[in-house]
Formats: sequence, C-alpha cells, structure tokens
Amino acid sequence: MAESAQERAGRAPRPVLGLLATVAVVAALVLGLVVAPAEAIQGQAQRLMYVHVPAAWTAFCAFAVVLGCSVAVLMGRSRRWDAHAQAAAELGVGMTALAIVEGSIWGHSVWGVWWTWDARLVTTAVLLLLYLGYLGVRGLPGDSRRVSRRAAVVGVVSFVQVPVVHFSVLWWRTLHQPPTLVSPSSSPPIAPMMLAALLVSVLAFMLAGAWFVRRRVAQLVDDSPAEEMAAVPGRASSPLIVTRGSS
Amino acid sequence: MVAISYDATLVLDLAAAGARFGSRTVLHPVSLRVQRATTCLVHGANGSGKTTLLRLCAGLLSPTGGERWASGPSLYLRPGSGARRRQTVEEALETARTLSGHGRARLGPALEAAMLSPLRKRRVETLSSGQRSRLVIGIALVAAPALVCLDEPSAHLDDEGLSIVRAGVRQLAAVGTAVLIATHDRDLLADRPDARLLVSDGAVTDIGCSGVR
Amino acid sequence: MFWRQVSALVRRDLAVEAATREALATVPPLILAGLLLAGIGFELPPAELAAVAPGLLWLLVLTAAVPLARGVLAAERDDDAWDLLRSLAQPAALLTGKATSLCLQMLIAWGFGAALAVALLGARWPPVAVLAAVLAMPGVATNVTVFGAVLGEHGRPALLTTLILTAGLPALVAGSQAAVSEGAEAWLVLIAVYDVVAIVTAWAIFPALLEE
Repeated sequence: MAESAQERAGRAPRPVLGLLATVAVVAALVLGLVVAPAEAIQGQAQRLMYVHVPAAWTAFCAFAVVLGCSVAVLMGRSRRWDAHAQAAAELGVGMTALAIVEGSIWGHSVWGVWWTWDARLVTTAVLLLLYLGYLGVRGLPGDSRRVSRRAAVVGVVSFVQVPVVHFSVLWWRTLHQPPTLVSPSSSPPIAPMMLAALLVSVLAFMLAGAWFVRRRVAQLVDDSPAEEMAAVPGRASSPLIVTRGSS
Repeated sequence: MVAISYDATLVLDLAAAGARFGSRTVLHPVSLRVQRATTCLVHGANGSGKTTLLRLCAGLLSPTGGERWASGPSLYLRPGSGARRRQTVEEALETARTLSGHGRARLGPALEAAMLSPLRKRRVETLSSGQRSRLVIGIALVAAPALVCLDEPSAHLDDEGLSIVRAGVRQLAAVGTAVLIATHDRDLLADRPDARLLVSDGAVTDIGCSGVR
Repeated sequence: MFWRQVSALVRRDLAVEAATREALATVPPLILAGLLLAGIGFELPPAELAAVAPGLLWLLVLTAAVPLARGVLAAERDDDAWDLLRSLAQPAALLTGKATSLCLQMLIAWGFGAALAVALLGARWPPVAVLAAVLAMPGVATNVTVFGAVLGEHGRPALLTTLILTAGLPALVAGSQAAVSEGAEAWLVLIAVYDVVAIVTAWAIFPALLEE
C-alpha cells in the first residue's frame, strides 16, 4: 500500500512509551536494589531474579509476537507486520541470551554450577537456537518478499516446536526448582516486597521491550526502499486478449 | 470485440498483474487474457521482462500487484529444464505424465513427436543442447497442461529441431493447450501465431497481429 | 491424484538416488566415522558406551539429514527441475513426496547405524526402539523438508544444521530414551505428538515456500 512520509512519521514511536519505560526502569531499580530485602538463604545474589525472570518473560512474549506476525505475513499482510516480526525476534533473542547468561551467573552463585540439565534451561537454550536460526534466515540475500515469507515459515515452525521440545526435556529430567509464581499453592512463596519488585521489573522490561520494537520497526520500514511500500504504477488500459484463429 | 464467452475458453486471466524484485519494477501491470488452443509469440530485447512475463503467466511468480487466474496447471519450460540430469529421457517424461494425471498412452506419441524414441534410455545429462531442447517439447506434450510457456525454445536447435518445435506447438494447440513463446525469432512458427506481444522495459504491448486487441 | 503424485515423486527421487548413489556414497561413511570417533573419543567402559549409542546414533542421523536435505530443493534447482515440480504437483503432494523419500533414506541410515552400533559399541535395540525410530522419522523428515525448502537456494549448511538439530531434539530424546529407559510407551506418545505437530504445521505453511 502506498504510504506517505507524513503517515509514516505519524506512526513514529511516541515519546510517551519511552518515558513510561524509563520511569518503570528507575522504579524497578530502586525496588529491586534498595527496597526489597535480601533473600535469607541466597543473599544478594537473589536480586538477579529481578532481571532473570522479566527477561525470560519478555522473550516469550516477543516470540509470541513473532508467531502472530509470521502468520500475518503468510496470509499476505504488509511489510509492517514483517518488520514487527523481525524486531520482536531481535528483542527475543537478546532477552533469551540475557536470561541464560544471567541465570547461569545466578545458578553459579547459588548452586555452584554454571549449567544444569533442567527442562526449562534446555528449552530456553533451544529457543535461543531456533530464533538465531530465524534471524539467520532473515539475513539471507534476495528479494525481500521471498525472504520475509521464508522467515515467517521458520517463525511458525520454531514456535510450534517449543512445547514439544519442552515436554521432551521435561520428561527426560527435572532438576530445577519448581516454578516460583505458577505453583499449585494459593499463596506464592515470596515476600510481598519481593513480589512487588519482581512485578515492577516485569513491567519495566515489557515497556522497554515494546519501546525497542517500535523504534526498530520505524527504522526497518524507513530502511526499506520507499518504492517498496508504493503500489506498482498503474497503466490502466484495456486487457490484451489472445483469441483463436482471427489471424 | 470483447464479446467472448470467457468461461469455457479462457485459460489465463492476468488482471493488472505486475512484478517487482526489491525496489526494481521488472514488469509493469499488465492485463492479459489467453484463450485455449492459442499460440502467442512474445518478443523483446534481452532484459526487457519477457521471462518475467512468462513466469508470471505460468504462476511461478506471484504478482506484486493485481491478480492471476488460470483454468488449470501451467508449465514454464526453457531449454534444458524440467528434468533431473540423472533421469533417463523416458523417466523424465514419465514424471511429467504422472504428475499431470494423464494415462500411459500419452508417453509413446510424445516421445515420437519430439523424436526422442531412440534416446528414451539415455540419461538427460548425456544429451546435446539441441536434444535437451527437444526434451522440453516432449515434456510439454506429455503434460499438455492448460498453458505452456516456452522460453526461447529454438535455442541450440538445427532445422530439424526447429521443425519439431513447430510441430509440437501445433500439437499442443490441437489438444487445447495455449502456448506462449518468448523468442527473438519472428518466424519461429510455421503458422501465423494468434497473437504477438512486445515487451519493452517491462511494459507489454500488442504489436498489431490480428487476434490481439 | 494426490497419492498418484506422491508415488510419482517418491519413485522419481529414488530412481535419481539409484542413478547417482549420492546418499549411498556419503551417508554410511559419515555414520561410520561418527560412531568410530565417538568410541575412541569418549573412552568409556563398554556398558556406558552401549548406553550412549542410541543418542549418538540419533545425533548422527540428524546430522546426515543435512546433506540429504539438498535433495528437497537445492539439487532440483541445480538441474533446473524445481519449476516443473511446483507447477505440476500439488503443494501437499510435493511436501509428502519429498518427505517420504527423505524418510526412507533416513530410516535406512538409522538401520545401518543401528547395526553398526551393535558391532562397534555393543548397543542393544529392543523392538520398541526400532518402533520409535520408525515412528519418529516422518516428523523429522517433514521438518527437514521444510528447512531444505527454506534454505535450498542459499546453501548455508551451518544454518541448516542448526535448524535441523534443534527441531530434531524431541526425536533424539524420545528415540534414544525408548532404547535405554523403562516406560518406552510414554516416549512413543511423545513421538506421535511430535509427528502430528510437524506434519500439520508443514502442511499449512508449505505452499508459502513454493511462491516466488
């Protein structure tokens, strides 16, 4: 579809989102580093949770966005959906890598190991690999429409594989702590102030992630040749008809 | 003049279909309707967009704008295409026949018409360029889809090969297949084509042969 | 028409393989090399070597799928035959045909490797492990077909390997656990789910890969 520069400028990221994200990040830092108490057994190292958990959640949300946008691309939607898929995948890969590295540091300080063959860890590493593959396909040379369709296929295939991968590793071995929040007991086993810090951190990560995606989409759409968004110039004329035997 | 009963006789309808690679427009929107059992030559300089037009017509390329409708399968063939190198000639034709859903009886006549019978057990990779051009005609004949798009079918062909192409195109038209041929050779066909199109800088125009309006 | 096209595509691929012997000449040596080097490199006592054999074999079969994936699109394009296939075959038939011939080749590779693992590593294959391999291969082959079509015209073997290995993880886990652990039935259920997910997804998205 044709899109004027004005329309594109109209969709440029609004500062509101950036401001909200900044406020949330500052609040999360204060809550996580100052207000929330240190954990009784794990000590200060537990504060890594305020990065680890939100990073992982943001990554999962980003990959869900990749799936939705990929389906839209396969159904013939525009370049904007494709740009959202790419931006979300980049965010997701970054957040997954952060969650893994940071979780590894946390694990080392608490359990003395960098890595454990736990289902969630392995699944997260597989997620990282799948979406690195997705970004690899995005980076292929060639016509942008074809590349985005191919990437969309990988985006869909990758996402639907994740639950199967997770269950296969889960059955294979479970060593990790049970999930902190999503547990069968009605009251979460976490101090109220810690919970508040965690939730604000999650909010901060989500807002900052959304802000990143908007910025990146604006950049990607600007990068792509303006003509690509425009319709093929029309040459209205009556159709050419090849008919039999009139020669 | 447009009062044709489209429903039964139309095999291809391009409605303002264009093609673009990246930011480059390769083919401006063209509206083209092709009836069954017609032959149409497509001329134009190298790089003008003939191949893109043919691939668009054959459905290999989805139009960047506009619509494409076809009544049945379409085939795009250039010399040397359509077969694995390690297949025999017979296997190559057999694949095209089975995928098209035609009976076994098609095979012999197609081999004969393309003068491939003596070569039927030869591997495709051992064929000469001219023989591979004939193989393409054999594949088109055995598949006999609604539309065949031949890209430079006379390349590498001697006089005998050329007459095989001519006879092949006539046979395709006889079974109702519409044939689009991209060629520099204005006298490629023995019979007068039903239409001639000229592609120039990605714009398709008719060049006045009867049958083209 | 669908099944006629599928059988034509499978027969064609197998005839081409019979003529080129490309897979036959490359895949068995790859598996032999992998088993041999693992035996030397791991330096494990015989019982432990036998225990790691199923997982090792699955890893090697998934790796061998990378060169085999060339047959989906790359080899067709090299010979300029891909356009004919996507013009004449229904997308679902093309997917099924390509996946079926891949599946057959990978099953043969697995069978060859399984026999070799008995001799070299002292592996044991209870019938349920063989059943697991037979059940898992359609899902693996379907994924390989999709990735082969995605990357067919670009090469990028390392990227293809990453995608195939990661998407093959459930088959590797379930296939090797069925051979070495109790309660193999649960693994068979997982394999069935894996197959269904892979096949249904590929069915839905494969037509998009045929467009240009």
